[in-house]
Amino acid sequence: MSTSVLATDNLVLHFKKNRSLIDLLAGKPPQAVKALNGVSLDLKKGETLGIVGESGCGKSTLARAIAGLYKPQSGDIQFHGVSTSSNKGAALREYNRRVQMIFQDPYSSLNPRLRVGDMLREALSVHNMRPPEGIEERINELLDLVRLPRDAADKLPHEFSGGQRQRIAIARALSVEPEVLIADELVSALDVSVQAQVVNLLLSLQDDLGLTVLFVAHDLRLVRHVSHRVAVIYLGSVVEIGSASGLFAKPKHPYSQALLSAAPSLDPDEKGNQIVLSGELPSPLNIPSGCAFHSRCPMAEPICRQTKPMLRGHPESGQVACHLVDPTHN
Amino acid sequence: MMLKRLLPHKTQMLVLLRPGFLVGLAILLGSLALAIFPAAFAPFEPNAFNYSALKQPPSFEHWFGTDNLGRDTLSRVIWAYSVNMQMAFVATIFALVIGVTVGALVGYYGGIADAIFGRCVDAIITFPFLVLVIAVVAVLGPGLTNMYIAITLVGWVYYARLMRAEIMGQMANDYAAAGKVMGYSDRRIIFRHLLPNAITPVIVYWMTDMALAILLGSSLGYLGLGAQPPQAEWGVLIAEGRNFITTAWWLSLMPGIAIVLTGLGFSLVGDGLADLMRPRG
Amino acid sequence: MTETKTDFGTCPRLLEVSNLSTSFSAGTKQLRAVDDVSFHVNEGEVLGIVGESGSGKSITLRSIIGLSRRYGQVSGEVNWQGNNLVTMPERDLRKIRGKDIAMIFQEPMSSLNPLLTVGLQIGENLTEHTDLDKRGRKNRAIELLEMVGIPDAVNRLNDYPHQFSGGMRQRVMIAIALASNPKLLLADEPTTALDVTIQKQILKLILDLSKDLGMAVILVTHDLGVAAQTCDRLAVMYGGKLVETGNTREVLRAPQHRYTMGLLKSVPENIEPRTQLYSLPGTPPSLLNLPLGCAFAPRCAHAVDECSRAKPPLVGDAHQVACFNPVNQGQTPIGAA
Repeated sequence: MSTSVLATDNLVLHFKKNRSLIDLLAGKPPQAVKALNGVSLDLKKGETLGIVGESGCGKSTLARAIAGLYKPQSGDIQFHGVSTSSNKGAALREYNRRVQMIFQDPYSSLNPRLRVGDMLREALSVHNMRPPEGIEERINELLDLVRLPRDAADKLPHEFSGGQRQRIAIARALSVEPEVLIADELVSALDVSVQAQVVNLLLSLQDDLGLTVLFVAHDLRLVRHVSHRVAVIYLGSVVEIGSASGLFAKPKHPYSQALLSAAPSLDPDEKGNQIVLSGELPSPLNIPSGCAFHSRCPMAEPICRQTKPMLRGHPESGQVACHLVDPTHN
Repeated sequence: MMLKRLLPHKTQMLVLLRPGFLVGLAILLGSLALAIFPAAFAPFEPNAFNYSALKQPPSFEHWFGTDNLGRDTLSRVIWAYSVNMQMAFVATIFALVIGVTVGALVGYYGGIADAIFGRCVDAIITFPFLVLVIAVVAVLGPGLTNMYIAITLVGWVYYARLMRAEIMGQMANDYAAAGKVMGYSDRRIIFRHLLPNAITPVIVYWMTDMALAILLGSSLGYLGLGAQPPQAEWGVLIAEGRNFITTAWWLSLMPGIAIVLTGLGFSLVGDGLADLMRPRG
Repeated sequence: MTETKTDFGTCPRLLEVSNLSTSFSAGTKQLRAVDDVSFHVNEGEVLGIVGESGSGKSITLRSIIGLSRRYGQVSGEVNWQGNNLVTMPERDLRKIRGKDIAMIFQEPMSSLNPLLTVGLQIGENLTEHTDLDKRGRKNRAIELLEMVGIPDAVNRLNDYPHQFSGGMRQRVMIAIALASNPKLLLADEPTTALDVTIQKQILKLILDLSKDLGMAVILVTHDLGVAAQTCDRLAVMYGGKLVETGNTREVLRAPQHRYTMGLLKSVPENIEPRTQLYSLPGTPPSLLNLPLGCAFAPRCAHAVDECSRAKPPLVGDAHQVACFNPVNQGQTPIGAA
């Protein structure tokens, strides 16, 4: 649990918006969706790092950037201590093999015209995971692994339910024997009664195969259940990171506190502490200065408007980016 | 291999039994048979003069009548199938292949190539199709081969535009992203994953386009820019009959009917294929 | 906090649904989306209809005010102030819909007209259902927007829906719904498209308005947490049927139906981290292919012979359950495995 497998270093990713001709003539500055604004994280071997935040906070962008689907403007992703920014050709493909991703929507992440067997066969043969004569056997093993019947290989994706499709996606990701698995909202498209099946599968596969998992989700209960550590993201920056037990028991950043208390409890009498955040998430086109959360923070002080707080270690545990809980500013 | 994956599911096969599709298919198969074996069906030589039977109306001996040189119109219409069906295929297939490839690449990579492509399309589409083709033929000179070149030069743009839009639509699905994460090459993602899912509208458009190609080809033939007389070609036949439209209506009408019928066949089959190749049940 | 101890059992019944069924034809088959559902709503109470996708919860809600008529066949009775809404002619129904019974939807953007200002859309409803003059309507519109917590309401009347954020749009929808002082608000997954922090604001708003205006609410949701925090009573649906109804605390603390129980146990709350969760096997049934007996029987570990032969009736007084082999009373508290 100590060696770093994958680390992001000050990752910045902005999506430029196309300027209309009128804006161009009016000399308006180009706008950009500031999805990631300096994210530094560190995934340790065998752990699950949970990423939570509201929609538009950049958590999916982060997942996709790490999977290599987006190229960050600046910052670096290091895999086993080696920068991946200059990866090309074979090195890029090898990185892709070792860092796999499972997508949120199992209805769009599987090619509707490929039979499950062909899908797995393709992955196995492109990366030469098995000699040609061993491929059929491996397909059966993979289907067993994700607890699907073996005759699934001859079927097309539309013949499966959402939960089964997500198992197929997991089988495909595992076929290339990755070290890191990025799960972007793994179960949020699934029915509640099916979610537990898939979560259980992920947990046992992780233990059996020693996978390192980045678990991105908006369901806080789920993140707490599967994660060793959790990072809370707000408008493209990590505001707090720490052990799952510590962070959920005693969140320190005001945003973490509000977020956790907003998740409705199953107990009608457990109302949580009644922090109701005023206002809504500011547009990522136009992120507030200083601490991005100051516009909604019930405790904001003048300094919050001016200086962006850095992530700093908290005496109890984890790291927090807040002027007000940072001991050096007290 | 690709065809296997494009083709359908048991339940979708029911489309094949629809009367519209069956009629269309019958027309096309019949046309194809006539095109490949005209000699087997034509009662006379298409270019054999018969001065004892000039401009005869349809009769038991000459079903479609004869022209001013005594040539049997039915035989000429049948022999024209070879040329006109060839037109449908040759004038579109290169446009299809070029258009699909360019459209897929441009749609997948986007960026500058896409911007340049967009401008080219705008420029070409501004002109009416026929005017542009005539302009190209005028430069290259009349004749079938030059006509094919002209139609391909203009026609690929329509395929490319359609393909680009379809590919971009498919890219919104995560299976393309999943392919990248799996470490697949761009070529594999484009041609094995995206293309089979994006090609259906192109194939359907191709069917209509083949009908259009026949129309265009015979229009050019009529204008003297395509097939050259005495070759039997529907446009040429109609042009030849033009001078006798009041005295020998069958000369222009019969090839006209052949054009309409073949066009109908392509459309009906196109509709059926659209239903047939939709993914999922 | 236990401030909501109101006993709604003694309140008069506002809406009584009996034997409501809605079916659609899908090709050659009949798809029974709602199957013989009976429940009631008391004045001022918040009733939650909980279920997964395909359970029939949204169709039930739509069938109440005749929104399913165009697409399917509705039978049974929906008793509203002595009238049966199921058989009521569309013309009369329109007078009740939007006035006495209002509805809000999951996706506020698609239920607001993008080409009309928010002020106009509220005004429209006021013209339809009140006698206010133009000026009175404007004042009332501002009042309504303020009531649902839209800052600077006076100036926002002339804004178009796209100028509002997701949460604000849902507030606008609620304002439009409230324009005619409805006695019953039907809310179809009103917070599903919103983030948790915004969800909390909107749920609080709906609850406050319900309390202040004495308005009853039927809240359809798939989220047990939302239901727990918002509703006085719950009705759980599965495969088009009601499987359990009762006081929220009772249903969540002592569920009697095996499905409710399984659903609650599968939620990762009060459980050792990274341990295997309780999971229901299989998937929810397709409405096109419902089993002969209890729809949940194929996934149920406690099914008895009878379950596959007949559909269990909904029995009980305050806490009703439709199960041949229900959970014993007082067995498992919320979320514990």
